[in-house]
Amino acid sequence: MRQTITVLFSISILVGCRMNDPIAPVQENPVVIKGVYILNEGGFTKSNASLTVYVPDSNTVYPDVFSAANNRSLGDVANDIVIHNNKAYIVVNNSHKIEIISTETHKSLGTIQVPGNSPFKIVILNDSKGYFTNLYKNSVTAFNPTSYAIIKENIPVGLNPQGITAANGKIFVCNSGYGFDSTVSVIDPNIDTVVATIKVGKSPADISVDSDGEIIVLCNGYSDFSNSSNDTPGSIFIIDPKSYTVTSTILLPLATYGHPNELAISNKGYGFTVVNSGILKFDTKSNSIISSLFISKTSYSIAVDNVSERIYLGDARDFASNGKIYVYEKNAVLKDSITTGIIPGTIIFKQ
Amino acid sequence: MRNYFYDHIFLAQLSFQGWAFCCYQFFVKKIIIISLLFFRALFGEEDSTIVYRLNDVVVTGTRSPVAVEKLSSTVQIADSVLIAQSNGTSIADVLSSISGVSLRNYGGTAALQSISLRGMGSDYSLILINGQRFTTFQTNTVDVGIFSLLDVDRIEVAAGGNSSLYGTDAVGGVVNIITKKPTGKTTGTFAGSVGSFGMNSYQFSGGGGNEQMSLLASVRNERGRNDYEFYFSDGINRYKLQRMGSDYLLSNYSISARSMFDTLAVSMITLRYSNADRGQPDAVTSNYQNNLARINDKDLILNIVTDIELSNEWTVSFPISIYNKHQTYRNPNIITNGSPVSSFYENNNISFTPLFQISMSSDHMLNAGWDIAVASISSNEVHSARREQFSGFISSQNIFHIPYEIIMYPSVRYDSFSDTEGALSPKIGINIGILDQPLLRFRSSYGKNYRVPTFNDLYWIGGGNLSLKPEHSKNYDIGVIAGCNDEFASVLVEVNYFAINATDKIVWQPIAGNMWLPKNLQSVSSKGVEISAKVNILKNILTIQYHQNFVQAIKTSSDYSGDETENKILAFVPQETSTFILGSSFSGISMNIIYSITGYRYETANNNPRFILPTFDKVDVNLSYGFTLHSMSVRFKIEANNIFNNDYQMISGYPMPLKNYMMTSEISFY
Repeated sequence: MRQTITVLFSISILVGCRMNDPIAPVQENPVVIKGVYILNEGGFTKSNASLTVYVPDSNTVYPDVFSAANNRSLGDVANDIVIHNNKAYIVVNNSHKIEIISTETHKSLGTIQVPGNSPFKIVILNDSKGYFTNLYKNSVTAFNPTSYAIIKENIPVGLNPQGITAANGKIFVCNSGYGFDSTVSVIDPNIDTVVATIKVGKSPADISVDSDGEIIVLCNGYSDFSNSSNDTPGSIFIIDPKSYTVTSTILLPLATYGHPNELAISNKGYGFTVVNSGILKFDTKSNSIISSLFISKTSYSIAVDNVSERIYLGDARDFASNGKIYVYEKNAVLKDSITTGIIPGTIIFKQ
Repeated sequence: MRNYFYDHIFLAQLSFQGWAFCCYQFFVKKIIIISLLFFRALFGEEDSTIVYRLNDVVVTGTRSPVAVEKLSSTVQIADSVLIAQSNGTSIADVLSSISGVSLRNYGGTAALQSISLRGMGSDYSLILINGQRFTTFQTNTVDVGIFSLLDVDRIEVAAGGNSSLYGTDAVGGVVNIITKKPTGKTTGTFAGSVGSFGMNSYQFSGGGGNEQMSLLASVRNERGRNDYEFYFSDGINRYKLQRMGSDYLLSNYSISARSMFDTLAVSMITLRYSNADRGQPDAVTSNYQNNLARINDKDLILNIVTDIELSNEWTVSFPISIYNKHQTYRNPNIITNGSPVSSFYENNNISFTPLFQISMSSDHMLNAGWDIAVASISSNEVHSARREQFSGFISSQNIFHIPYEIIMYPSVRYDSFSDTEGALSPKIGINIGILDQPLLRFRSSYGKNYRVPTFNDLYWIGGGNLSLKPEHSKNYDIGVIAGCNDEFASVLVEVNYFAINATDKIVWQPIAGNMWLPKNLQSVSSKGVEISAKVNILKNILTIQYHQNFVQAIKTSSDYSGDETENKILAFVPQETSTFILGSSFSGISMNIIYSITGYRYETANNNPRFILPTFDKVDVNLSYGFTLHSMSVRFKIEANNIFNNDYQMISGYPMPLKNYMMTSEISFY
């Protein structure tokens, strides 16, 4: 009997002994005048997206200013961020929302909930009109960036719309179709309807405007996972935003470049894309390749600072732990590297 | 073991506050126990259905029957008693109550449920049915949530490496599901259940025959909406939502025929078919849900076993297993290649595993056999592939009396595969009996184990890597088992320390062009202590089963320079789990209280404390009453799960049901 009582007593002690859950350290939330905003997607379904701020002048990194300011996670899979009028508009794809924060305090100013949509990339046209693509709904949503009201929930476009930009008062949308579409839709903001469709290469995914006001479209090319001999090469298409015509094309042969991803355009007349073995640099005036391997490092994301002309490469590493940003001088010399959150997918600059 | 406790973080993180809080909760729950005792004292009458034996015999530890306390490493048993004490209808519900098993549930009944043994992932456990491989080569992961308890007699869980007996995948351990066998007795059982969230089921089983020829057949159908309520917080608001698109229909059919040709030869043929059709909701990441994905599993298994006793010394067994698994997955919400995701996977496996058992004397026994198998896959996501396996194994049990009883268990197995590298898996185990009454025995084992690349790893379209080699591990364990029987109580206590060092772990890594490729990349170390106790006081006035596991599974390798996940705890592996089952049975009335705690789990590989799944505890109860009338017995059972309405998740984004109920009525004829 004494043995049994001893066992029971020991069991009660063990049941009572439990490890405490770890406590997250308090994070710092700076007031940022000039800095680099790095949007970290976070793991799919993990709801651990974050917003890192890097201040080059003081060489300081703030790992997640959103949670520091708002005491909550940003959400699940943050795909895009733009700054307009001291506000940052953050697209959180798998939380089905647009989070709006102050770029001074990083406090949330509002949330646009879009249940049923899959917001992916965003552009702000002016104080009263903004647009974002819905990746799995083949549509674009128009909203008011000041009142945060939805203006038109679904403007039908092509398959799996990804990149979106504004030029010449119009909205241009890349219909990627993951290789099964090859068009750019043009939306007239006055009527929120597609008014033109431009044929480009297969799987147009990224889009931007260069220093000449021309539209640059990066097409990934088609990937056939079961038979790579069916793959088609990637390409860069240059479009005149007034006539909606393709004015030039840079072909990127498969054997040399694989399937290109990501686009960064400088206002100094050049741009970058990520190819098989590293970073390709091209001229946006002559629309030709400047260097087929400007930096011999591949990356998950890329951005170029228009002022310092530094190039920022986002490395998602294993997609499960914190990523890295590698900062290169304009002459491709590595200057610095900083640690970010999980999957640094978008890099923008507050000048 | 002493060093383990003092050197590792477990005790360092214990605090008085945590202890006091938990003790408070524990003692509040003890009020229930005291009430039960009082109730028992009022109506006290002995019931002999629950008796813990010190000499349970298992087959999984050595491939032949051995008393559990005489093995070189632990084998936990979910016998008919534990199955009756548990809530739920699937083997997942029972496995969650077994020491060393960690369950991962993606959202209630019929959602994907996989098990993890000793801190290793769900693809490091080998699942067997009657000793025959049930784990497919495609993923190495078995959904134990759709495996009904309908015809399950008992489940044996041999934690730790067992590749020397069973080959690939037996790194974390082996789960052997042993089904009911025809006995020749004429029986019939009909049962029906209703429960929360539209759950209803019926089942029938019946058998008959004679000593020479007997038959047992079972049918079960269960369906439910599974639209339970749960909480979701986006950091601003906390919403009470209802699960959508998680309805299910589970059907199970089995028939077994047993034939005894003479007293020395027995043949049994078993055909099992199951069809599991269910919604597969996405992770909850916002207050909006639009779940349209569905998954369907059809499993057809034919087992034919012939056992022949050639002489007093020689016994042979000839098992043949034919297994077909057809799985489909459709998700209209995900459009790739211009159309919704629609995948199918057809796995086939045929195996022949003759086993020879030679008893050279009462102290020396030899097992030898081979394993010949052909497996194949056909799918629109995986290249068609075929795997031929040729394996041989030999093991022995040798008892010495010098002066204590010392039992040695050497075993070795070699596996070769037509499409990937083979492996040699040796193991040596020892068991030393110090005392018989009270019982005190020490045991230890060391072995090499492995896991071959899956079909997905090798042949996934657009991602498979044909140059992968097997993962290897070295497993150690040491333990003590002690017990006593007296007129007041019987007690059985086990304490085990284990260590698994795995290398060449296959991990899918990003490569250029946003592609992913599996590579032999990582090393993992998993160490831990398992404590289990079974107590039976005053012949069932009160029975207690208690399990507590401490596990520290760490990634020990660096995938790249500056890898911050090196020496971090694996995501979603709890460092602490415990289960406490209190039962009482009298006058046909049984009551059980199941209290479980699962410690916090990191959600990220770099162990960011901001992203954790917090510790949760849960209390389930059941009450049953049965009586016998002539040749008929009737039983009613009421189950209540999560009675304190705790909001918890086992995997992030997959909330579990709040309080829910089930009621079952059963009539048996014999």
